[in-house]
Amino acid sequence: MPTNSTKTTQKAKRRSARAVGDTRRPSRKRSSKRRPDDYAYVIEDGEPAYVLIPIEEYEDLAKASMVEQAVAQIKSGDEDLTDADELALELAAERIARARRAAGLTQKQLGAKLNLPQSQISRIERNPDRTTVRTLKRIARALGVDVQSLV
Amino acid sequence: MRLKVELHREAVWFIRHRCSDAEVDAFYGHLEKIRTKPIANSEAVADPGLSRYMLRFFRFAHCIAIFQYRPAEDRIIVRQCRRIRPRRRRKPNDAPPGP
Repeated sequence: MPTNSTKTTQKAKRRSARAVGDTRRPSRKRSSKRRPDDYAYVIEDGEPAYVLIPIEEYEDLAKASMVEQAVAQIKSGDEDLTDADELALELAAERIARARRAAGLTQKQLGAKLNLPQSQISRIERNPDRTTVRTLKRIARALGVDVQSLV
Repeated sequence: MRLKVELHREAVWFIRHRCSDAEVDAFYGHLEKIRTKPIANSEAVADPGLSRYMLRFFRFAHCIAIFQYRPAEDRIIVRQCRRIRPRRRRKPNDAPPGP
């Protein structure tokens, strides 16, 4: 915990540092007109690694990034929501796979029963809404369940 | 007018992992009614843990779904789904005292 005296020393140091820098520090107005070439770069391994910018510009950048973060957070809050219809489709897709697993069959075995390739079973499980009623009925019969329990 | 329905992450988790197929069907069955007449088919509820505004809920199977109705956006947001707690049975007055 810094004492009052240390605080004052730090403040004094900061003030003196500012006082030194103030003589050539560009004003906010001037800094906005600066071009990328006007900044001093710190080169590491022949590549520019750091940029020396006035404190005002640094503070502006920090504020802007905070605003961006806040906006992103608000947006991500909205992304937490799932459309009810999309969820219904996903759940329907899971039902066929669950019924197949409950019957103790793999996709390949179910395909063999229905004379369909495994890839077709996989596609049906992913998109049951794009499967004909006839195929769904065949699957239900092969799994020994009611067709209504699959969709 | 059919309202757009969105589910909060918690509600999705409950529907996915805690509900049987029959319960999911019951949920979507009630949701269809809610979509057409949200006020008539639901009751008001205040849950400070969820929102400081009034929310509404509907029952399905042995569960309830608490939702927020936003008429300006024609949208419903299902905030939470949970099982209805069984009602405590009161001892009758003339019951013998316990051990």
